[in-house]
Amino acid sequence: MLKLEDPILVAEGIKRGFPLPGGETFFALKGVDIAAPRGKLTILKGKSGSGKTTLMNILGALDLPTEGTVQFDGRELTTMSEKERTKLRRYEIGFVFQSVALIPIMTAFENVDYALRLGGYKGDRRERAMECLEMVGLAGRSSHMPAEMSGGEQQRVAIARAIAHRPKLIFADEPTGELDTNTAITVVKIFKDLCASQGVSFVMTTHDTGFMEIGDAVYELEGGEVISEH
Amino acid sequence: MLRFVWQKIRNKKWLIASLLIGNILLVAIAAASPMYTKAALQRMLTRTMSDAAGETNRYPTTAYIYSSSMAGHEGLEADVEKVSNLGQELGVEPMLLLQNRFISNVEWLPELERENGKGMTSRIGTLKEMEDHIEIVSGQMYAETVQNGVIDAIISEKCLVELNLMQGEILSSQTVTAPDGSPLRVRIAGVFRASESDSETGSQFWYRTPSSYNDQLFVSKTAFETGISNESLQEEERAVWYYIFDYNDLTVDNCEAVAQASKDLTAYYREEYYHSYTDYFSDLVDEYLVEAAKVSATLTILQVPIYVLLFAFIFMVSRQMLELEAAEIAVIKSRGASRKQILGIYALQSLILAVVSLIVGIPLAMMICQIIGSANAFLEFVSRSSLRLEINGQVLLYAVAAAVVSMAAMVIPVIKYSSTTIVVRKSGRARKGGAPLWQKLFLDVILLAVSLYGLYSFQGQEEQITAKVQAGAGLDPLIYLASSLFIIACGLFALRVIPLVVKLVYSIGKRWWSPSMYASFLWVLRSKGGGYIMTFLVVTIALGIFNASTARTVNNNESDRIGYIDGGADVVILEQWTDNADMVEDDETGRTKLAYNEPDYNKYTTIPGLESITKVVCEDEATVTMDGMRRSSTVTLMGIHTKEFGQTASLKDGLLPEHFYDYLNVISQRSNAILVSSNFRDKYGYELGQSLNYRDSDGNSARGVIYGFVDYWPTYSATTEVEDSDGTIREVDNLLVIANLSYLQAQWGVTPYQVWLKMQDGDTAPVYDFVEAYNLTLLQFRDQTADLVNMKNDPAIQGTNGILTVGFVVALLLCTVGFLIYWILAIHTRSLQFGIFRAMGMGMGEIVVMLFNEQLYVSALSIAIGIGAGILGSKLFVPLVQLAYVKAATPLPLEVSLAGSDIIRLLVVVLIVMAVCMLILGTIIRKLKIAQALKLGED
Repeated sequence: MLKLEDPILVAEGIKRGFPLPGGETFFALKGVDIAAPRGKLTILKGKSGSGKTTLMNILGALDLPTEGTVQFDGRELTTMSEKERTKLRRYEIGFVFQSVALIPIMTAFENVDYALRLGGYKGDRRERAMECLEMVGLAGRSSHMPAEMSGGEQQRVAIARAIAHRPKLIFADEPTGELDTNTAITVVKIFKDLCASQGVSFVMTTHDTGFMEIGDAVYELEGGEVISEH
Repeated sequence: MLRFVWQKIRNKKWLIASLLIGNILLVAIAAASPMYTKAALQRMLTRTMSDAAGETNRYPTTAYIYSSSMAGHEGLEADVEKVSNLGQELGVEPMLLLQNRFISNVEWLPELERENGKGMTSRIGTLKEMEDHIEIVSGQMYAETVQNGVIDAIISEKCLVELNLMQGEILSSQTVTAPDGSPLRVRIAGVFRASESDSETGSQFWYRTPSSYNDQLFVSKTAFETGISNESLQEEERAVWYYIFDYNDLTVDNCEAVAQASKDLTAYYREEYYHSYTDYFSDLVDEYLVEAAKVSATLTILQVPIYVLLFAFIFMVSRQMLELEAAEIAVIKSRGASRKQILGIYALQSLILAVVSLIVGIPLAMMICQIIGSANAFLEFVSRSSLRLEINGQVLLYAVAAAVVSMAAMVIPVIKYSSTTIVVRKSGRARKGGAPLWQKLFLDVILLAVSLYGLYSFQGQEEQITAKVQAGAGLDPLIYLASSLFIIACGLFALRVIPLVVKLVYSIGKRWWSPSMYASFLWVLRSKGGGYIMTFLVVTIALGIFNASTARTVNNNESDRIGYIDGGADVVILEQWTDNADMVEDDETGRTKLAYNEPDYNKYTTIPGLESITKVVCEDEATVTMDGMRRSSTVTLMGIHTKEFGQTASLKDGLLPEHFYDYLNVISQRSNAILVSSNFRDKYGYELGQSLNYRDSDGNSARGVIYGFVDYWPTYSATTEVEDSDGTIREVDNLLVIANLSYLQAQWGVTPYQVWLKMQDGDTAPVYDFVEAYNLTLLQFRDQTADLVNMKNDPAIQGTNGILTVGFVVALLLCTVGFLIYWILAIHTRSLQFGIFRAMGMGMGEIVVMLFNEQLYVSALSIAIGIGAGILGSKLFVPLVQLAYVKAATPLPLEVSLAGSDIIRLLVVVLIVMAVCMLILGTIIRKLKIAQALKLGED
């Protein structure tokens, strides 16, 4: 039986190899063990090339590990079919990407609304979308196209989109990477608030040491291995 | 810098490849245009000459020169000199220069008296190089020199008979003297005929056959010059020359100059009465020049849309590429590169492209020419003798000009981009693009209006246009331009209409659209990328249909006309009949009636492959006496066997209100029933049941009862255009009476009739064998199959079929390439989007549905509009465009032909192209890893 205090995500012995032109294999991840607590903010820290994005893609069911297991809410990801993983992403997982990743032909509102459409949201979509934009402080810009907004604003729309269909777990890959310090703090604060108010779990990567204290669990990666965890 | 450019080319290989394709095609088409036109005109010129040779039985590129010593021997001597250098004056060297010097009207008496020997008159002369072209039938060759005061002569077989000469006998002249003042003596040494090797090698030496020299005694040159007294030569010598050059030496480039030189010579010789000059080719060349101007104008005009399309394509692709490279340019610029350096990079890149396209384009041009040359109809080919193609200065000029123009199209837009730095660009990106300038200016609507105005102003002028075309002018470029404008305007208009349709569909089902459908609608409505591909699709399809329709209409109308003029029968033959006209003339009592000897008719039924046969009396000079009007009019009288006529002749359905057979049945009811042309009713008020007196040109008369009126009948034209002496063209009504042949023959006896034949599968070859086997003398011979083949080989029609086909193929190629570029760019720019969609939990199937729905609106709607525009354009403009091909006033009503099979063939080709594109893209998408896509999408 799953218990509330069980981690939402447990990864064990994750290895991910990429074939090299010489016929050898380069391992971006060399056996990583991670557990993300439920309703908390987990931070994966590491320099560029440490393997954190590769790890996040595996945790988020976008990629498969060469070895190892990933348990999402008690279900094994690595043995799922492509269809099942697609479904999982659609209903239970949200993403906020490193670079701004809104759909350029949709307005802020439509971007959020689209996640609701995909997630088969049963309630009033308009109300929910506006509510989410409100949460990130962008209700007033709902009809703007991505190209008309700043990087920080776009990132916040992406967050609103990620939380809109009430997923259990949201992955954020360097969500603060291209933001100035103030905006970055705002974004991370939003994450923390959402953890508290909505009970959503977050996994985010960063190379910024400043956020270390904010995380409920912090893993530090280097060379494809976890070198420390708090 | 070269390295940098090379790197750049490698990075953008897809776009560069597309640009290269556009460039190569542009160069190839540009080079093919003069190459093909010239080759086609050369073929036309050569055919004009060979046709003339066939029709007149005379080698056409011949000049005939005559000179005499009537104004003194010096004149003749000067001419001998002049003719030997004629090649320089004309500009073509002869393949044969026949020279016959002679004295005419020489009176002779045979020295040895014989029973029927009497005095005679002949020529004595020498034919240059005769020795090499004869064989002696009897006797021997003449001796070179005078022997014992006697000159040796040889004569043709015909001459032997006509002058009643004997081989070996000696003649002495009463009028011409030997150098010592005594009468000239000539011995008939032998009889010659043309050597067999001559006819085998096709030599033109016996241009005048030996039998046409029926009164000339040929002696050697030495004998002619030394054996005849100077006084005789000074006073009596004459000379004729046939200056014959190979008609293949007459080229598009030199024919005008040669004809002019020849005309100058004619004028020069005309100044003095003692000599003359006639050529048999300058009129033919003049005819050809008129036709050539028309053909080359038509061929040029037809190419205009291809050029426009190619140029637009290159411009668009290079814009597309610059759009992608704008960031790069801005970065280079920010790092301090000067505008000149940036321009230099692009100039170098386009120069490389230009050089490659010149290298590839010119050989491709030759291939295109062969394709055009073998087109038999739209997208249909037959094997023909290959064209005489050459790469001359003009071809290179066109190719280089095309390359330079496309370089300009690639470099000029850079100027705009090279002035933007990265800062301006980034801030510029945020701007929301509105409608493009042309849409705000309503350029599409304006173009549409202009083209329709063009149509409107040309309509109602068909007759003037036809008259102009007949007078030798080509198609008015504005007519064709209007049709091209119409198609382009439709393509642009589609860009305005398609989003509206999508919006409508989108808003109708707004509540129910699935996420993937929803996303695809938004994409079609909001992305700006799909625009040009829609225009290209619409223009390609519309142009394809328009081209197909033009080609088919021109082909069909011409073959219908030929079929109609030939009566629908495969072969029409009129043999030479013998009659007793001499006896009638001699018989002063006037009692002898004119009677014909009917040639054996049954022999025709033995022709292998004969399907049906009928006798048709066809008399153009018959007359009718209008009852109560006391005047007679010329009428065409046709006597037919209704059943056989129906089987052998044919008439296109729909020309007559009832079926052709119904009319035949009507007059078969009564022997004296006749059908008459409708103008009897319309002009002279005749009605059904009235009777009419008609008579043939021999004076036989008959009376018929009108059983029906016809507007059309095999071979019959209701009107013909006649040019009056003052040059005005006037329409003349033609009257027609169709009677039962059996009735005519019962009344008048047998009069000459044509034999109409219908052959199995239209194969008329056995008829030729038949005519040869029976050695028939024919007064008329019409072969519909041959006429149709000739029509298809007509340079204007043939070139039109070819160019319209090539135009369509080029449009299709551009469309394919455009489609691929559009999609590859779309995948590149949208891979991030696909990544997001996939990360958000959209399945592969949903993405495919999304793409499919986009295609439905972008491509399917474009195709539909293209078909509509093509059909409408054809209906509106083809009637005007086809006027350029009307050879003679056609008696048939115009029909715009558009076969469903053409449209289907077009669609199949387009769909295959699209399917291939989609397949390629499908594989690209399938290979796309989500994680990778998300990275790729980073700008």
